[in-house]
Amino acid sequence: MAWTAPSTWTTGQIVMASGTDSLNEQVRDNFLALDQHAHTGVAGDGSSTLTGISISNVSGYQFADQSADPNVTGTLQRNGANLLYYNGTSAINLTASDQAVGTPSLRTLGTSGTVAAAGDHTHTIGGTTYANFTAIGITSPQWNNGATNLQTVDTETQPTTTTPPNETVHMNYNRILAYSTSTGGYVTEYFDLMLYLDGVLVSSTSGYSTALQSYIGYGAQFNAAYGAINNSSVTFEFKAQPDVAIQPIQNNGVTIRCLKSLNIMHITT
Amino acid sequence: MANKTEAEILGINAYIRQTFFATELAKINKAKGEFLATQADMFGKVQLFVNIDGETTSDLETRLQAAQDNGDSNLVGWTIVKGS
Repeated sequence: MAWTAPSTWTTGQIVMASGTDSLNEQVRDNFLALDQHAHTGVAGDGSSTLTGISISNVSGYQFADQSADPNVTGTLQRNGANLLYYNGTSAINLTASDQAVGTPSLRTLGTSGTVAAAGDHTHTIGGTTYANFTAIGITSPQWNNGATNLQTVDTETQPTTTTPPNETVHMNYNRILAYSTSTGGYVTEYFDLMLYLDGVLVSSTSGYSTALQSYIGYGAQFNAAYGAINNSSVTFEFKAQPDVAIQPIQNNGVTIRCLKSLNIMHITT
Repeated sequence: MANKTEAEILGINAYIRQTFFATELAKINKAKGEFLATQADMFGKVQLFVNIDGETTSDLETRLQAAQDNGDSNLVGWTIVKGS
């Protein structure tokens, strides 16, 4: 029933039962229009949807128990004591805690596989394993009189444990000295030393002098070691190159000799 | 700070020894086993090892630190470790 704009009656006007300005039109039909109209969005009828709503100062929402989980994407719904959200795939229980690994949920603090670690938790070293490389003697290839070429002194590839992949691998080259059987006896030689970890230069000493040692057996150390290795193996490579050409007095050539030690610390938390 | 590259590590060693301390390097008496060595690593630390007649490690470290403090662009991003 359509709505008719209310009329304005004049003095002496006769009101009829039907027709324009009649009681049926102005009273009956307009009441019926108010009573029976749908919210179509047409002017005067209103709309069944609300747009651009901004809500503030709400003290709380109360969800009626639907006694079922939501199954329409984007729906937030209460089922008994649980509040669930349907993300298009599953109904996620927003009020449950410590759900299975891979399922988002609230977490209590603890140490199991489905709870969260406390902010003040501690890491303890589960164990330390030392490889059998402690104090192994290394002898490099030989440099002859006048040589300035780069050579590899030592290469060490060490497999690491990958489960869990938390290991610190420490390599130490120490007591580095230049050794010669030349008739001229001991003389100082100058080298550039480089330590690579998996092909990446991690430390370099330039102008290293075998005079850094005061006596054979007390050479300075080239201590460079790096950890938190997550690869299945780690390779250390120790290279050396004369910074100054090997002196003529070294008629039998020069080698670099040192000791290497390696340990692997396996860390569990 | 990103780890130093091989070029940066070798470059800082070369700069300190061959440019910054070129004069001191030139007067090293090899027969006496004197040396001026530097060590640099991927973490940006650089260190001096000095045994030259008339020079002290602390003096050279102080000069190097002063150059860095005064804005030597070659030393930007490096930490000079003292007390070798």
